[in-house]
Amino acid sequence: MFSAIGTHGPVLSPLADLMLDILFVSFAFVLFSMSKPSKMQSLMFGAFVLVIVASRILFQPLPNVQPVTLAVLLMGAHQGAQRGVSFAVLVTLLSNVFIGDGWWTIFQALGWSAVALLGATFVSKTNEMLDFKSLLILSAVSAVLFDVITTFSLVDSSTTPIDFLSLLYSGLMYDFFHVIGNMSFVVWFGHTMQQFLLPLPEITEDVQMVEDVYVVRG
Amino acid sequence: MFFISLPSSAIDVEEITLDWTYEFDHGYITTAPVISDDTIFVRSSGFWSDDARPKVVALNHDGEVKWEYTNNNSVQHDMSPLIDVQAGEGECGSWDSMLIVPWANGEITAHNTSNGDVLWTNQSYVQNWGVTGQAVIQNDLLVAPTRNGLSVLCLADGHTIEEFELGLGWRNGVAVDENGYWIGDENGTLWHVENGTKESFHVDEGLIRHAPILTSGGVLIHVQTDAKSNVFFFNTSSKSISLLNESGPSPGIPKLIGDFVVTTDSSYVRIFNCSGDCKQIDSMPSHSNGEIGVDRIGRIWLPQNVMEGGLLILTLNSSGHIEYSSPFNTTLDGYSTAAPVFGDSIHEILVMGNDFGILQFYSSEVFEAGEDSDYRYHDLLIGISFFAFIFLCGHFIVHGSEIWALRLFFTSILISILLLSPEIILLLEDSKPEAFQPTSNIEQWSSDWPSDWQDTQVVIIELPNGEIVDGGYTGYDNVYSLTRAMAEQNDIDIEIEEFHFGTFIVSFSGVEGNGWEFKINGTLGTISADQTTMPDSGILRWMLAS
Repeated sequence: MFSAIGTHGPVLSPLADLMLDILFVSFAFVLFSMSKPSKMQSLMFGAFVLVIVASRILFQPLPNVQPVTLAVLLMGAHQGAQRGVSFAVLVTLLSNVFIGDGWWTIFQALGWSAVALLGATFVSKTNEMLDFKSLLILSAVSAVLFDVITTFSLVDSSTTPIDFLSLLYSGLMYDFFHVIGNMSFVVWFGHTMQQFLLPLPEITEDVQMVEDVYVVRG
Repeated sequence: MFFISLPSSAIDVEEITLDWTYEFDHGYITTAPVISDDTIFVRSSGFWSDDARPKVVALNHDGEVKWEYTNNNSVQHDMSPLIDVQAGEGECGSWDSMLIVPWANGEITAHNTSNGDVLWTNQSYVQNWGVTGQAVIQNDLLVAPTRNGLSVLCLADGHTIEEFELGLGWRNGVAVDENGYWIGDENGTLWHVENGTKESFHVDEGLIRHAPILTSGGVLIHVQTDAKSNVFFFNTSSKSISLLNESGPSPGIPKLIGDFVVTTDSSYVRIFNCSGDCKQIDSMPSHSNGEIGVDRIGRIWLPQNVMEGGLLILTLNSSGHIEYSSPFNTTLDGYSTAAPVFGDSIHEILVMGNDFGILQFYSSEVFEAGEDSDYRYHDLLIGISFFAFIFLCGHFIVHGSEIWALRLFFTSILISILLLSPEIILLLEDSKPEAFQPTSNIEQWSSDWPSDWQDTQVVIIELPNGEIVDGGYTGYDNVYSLTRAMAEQNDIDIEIEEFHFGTFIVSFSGVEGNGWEFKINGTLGTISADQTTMPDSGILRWMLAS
C-alpha cells in the first residue's frame, strides 16, 4: 500500500490514494445520511460545502488563514456532531484536490473534525445565534486545536517529544495567523454564517416532525 | 510603527544620466575619486613608459580641469587612496584645506585644493616601492603605511613625528583606534603599535593587503594566499586568532558598515556580523577585488573586476542578510577595482573610474524610492494602517458601532502581522530555545566522505539520478547561503521563489517535483531556507517533497 516513506509520512500508491479518498468520502456521506436530512437540508449542506471549499482556495495565498475552521465550528454547533464531522471531511477532501493532497489530508480532516466536535460539545444546541464573545474565544481555541493535530502529520518514527515541541514552536507564527484569521472571520462573517445555518432544523426537530406525521396518520 | 523613518536621498539608478567623462592619457583608475565641495579629485595608476607618468587631476562638477599634478619620479603602482583634509589646527600647527597624495615612490605630498600647489612633501622608506596603502588622519596627524612600517606626520607641515619599522607591506593600509595603530604585512603578520610599543601576531602564511578592520570585539583580516584567501578574526581581549571562512582568490579591501563587515574576492562577497565575535551571515557569488563603495542610503556597490565590468549593488536588511542585489552597467564598463563615490549638488551624483582610465560623472534626480526599498513601503504601510485603525475605530465606537470597530481592529491586526511576518519569523527563529535546536546527528556519517569534512558543513542534494554530496564548508549561518555556495561550487542551477516571509528553493538543476524540503541533521526544516539557522557543523540534506 505504501510505496515509500516520504518526508511527510507514507507515500501512497495511486490506487491506495484513491481507495483512501473513497473511504473518507463514503464515511462522510454515511455520517451525513445518518442525520436523516431532508432534500432541502441536503442541498443547502452541499452548497455550503462548495462555498467553503471555494473560500479556502481563495484564501490560500494568505498563510494559514482558514475560513474552514469557523464554518466547521458553526456547523458542529448548529447542526450537531454528525453533520459537523461530515462537513469537515468533505471540505478537506474536496479543497485538497485543488490545493494538494497527501498524507497531511488525513490529519487536516481529523483536525477539523475535532473542531466540529468542539462546536457540538461546548456550544448550546439551541436555535439561537451564538454568543459573540464565546464564538471569538472558541474560534481562537479551534485554530490552536487544528494546528496541533495537523502537526502530527510531520511525526515519524524518529520524532522525539522535544522534536514535536520544536515543530510546534516553528509553527507559532502560522498559529497566530490562524487565530487572528478566525477571529476576523467571526467579526465579518460569523453573523451571516449563523443565519445561513440556523434555518436548517436540527436533528431532534427532524425526528420529532417524522414522529408527528406518523402519529397524525396513525 | 508610529515613527516612520523616511528614506534619505541617493542616486536613482533607474534614472541616471552620464553627464561627462574624463580620460587619462595613460594608466588606469584603481582607487576611488574624492568629492570635496565642488571639486572632484582623481589619480591615475599603472605601468609607465616613455613620458607617461602618474598624476592627480582636480575637476569641477562640469568636468572642467581645475588643475593637474604629475609626479615625474613615481613608480608602479600608485594605489594609495587620496585624502581630503579640511582646514584645522593642532599641537603641531595649523593648516588650510588640502589634498594628501601618497605615492609609490615613497613621497607623500600635500596640495592646495584650489590650485594644486605643493604645500609640503615627506619622503618615506623605499624598497622597490614606497607608499601603496591607505593612510589615515588622526586629529592633527597623518598616519601613513610605509614600505617597511608606519610614519606619523604632522598635518601642518608634513614633518615626521614618529616612525616605526614593522614588516614589509604592499597596499597594506593602516587602521587607527584609541588603542593605537593596526597594520598587516606581506608575511601575514598583524602589527599593533600603542604608545610606541610594537606587538606582532602571526595570522596566516599569506599576504595582508588591506587596512585591518576594527570591530567592537577585535580585528578582521582577509589574508591572500596562493590560490585562495582566508578570513580571520583576531580577538583583542584574548589575543586569539580564529579562521572565519575560506574564500576565493585575490581578496579585495574589506569594509565595515555598522556592525557588518563586507569582504570580497574573485568568488564571493561575504557579509559578517561583527557585533560580537565575527560570524558570516550571508554570501553570494561576485568577482570583486578592489574597493567597496557605500552610497548615502547604505547600498553597497562592488566594482566587478571582469572584462564585462560594471558593479554589483547590494542592499542588506537589518540583520545583515542580502535583501536585494542587482547589477549596474554602463556603456563604458570594463575591469574595475575603484569604488564609486557619491555626492550631491543640485542633483544626486555618482563618480567612478575604471581600468580604462575613464572617470565617469553621473547624476540623477533625488532617489526617494525604488525596487530595493520595498521594505520602506512595508514599514510605511504598517504605520498608515495603524493610524487609520485608531482613527476609524474611535469613530465607530463614538457612533455606537462596536461591530465595525471590531472588524477594523481584527483586519488591521491581520494585515499588520502579514506585513511583519518576515521579521516575526526571524525573531522567533533567533529566540528558539537551545533545546529545540537540531543537535543530534541522526544523519549517518558516510565512510566514503573525506576525513577533512569532519566538523564542517556538509550538503547532500537528492536528485532523481543520484545524490550530490559536498562538504568542508564553514561559516554559513543559514541553509540558503550554504546551499547556494554548494550549488555554485558544483555547477548546480538553483531556482528560487521569494515571498515576503522567506526564500524557497523551487528546483535544483531544473528538477522541481512537488517541491523541495530539507533536513538538518535529520530534523525537518519547517520555515524558509534563508531563515533557518545552519549549525557550524552538520549535514544538510535536500530532498523532493512527496
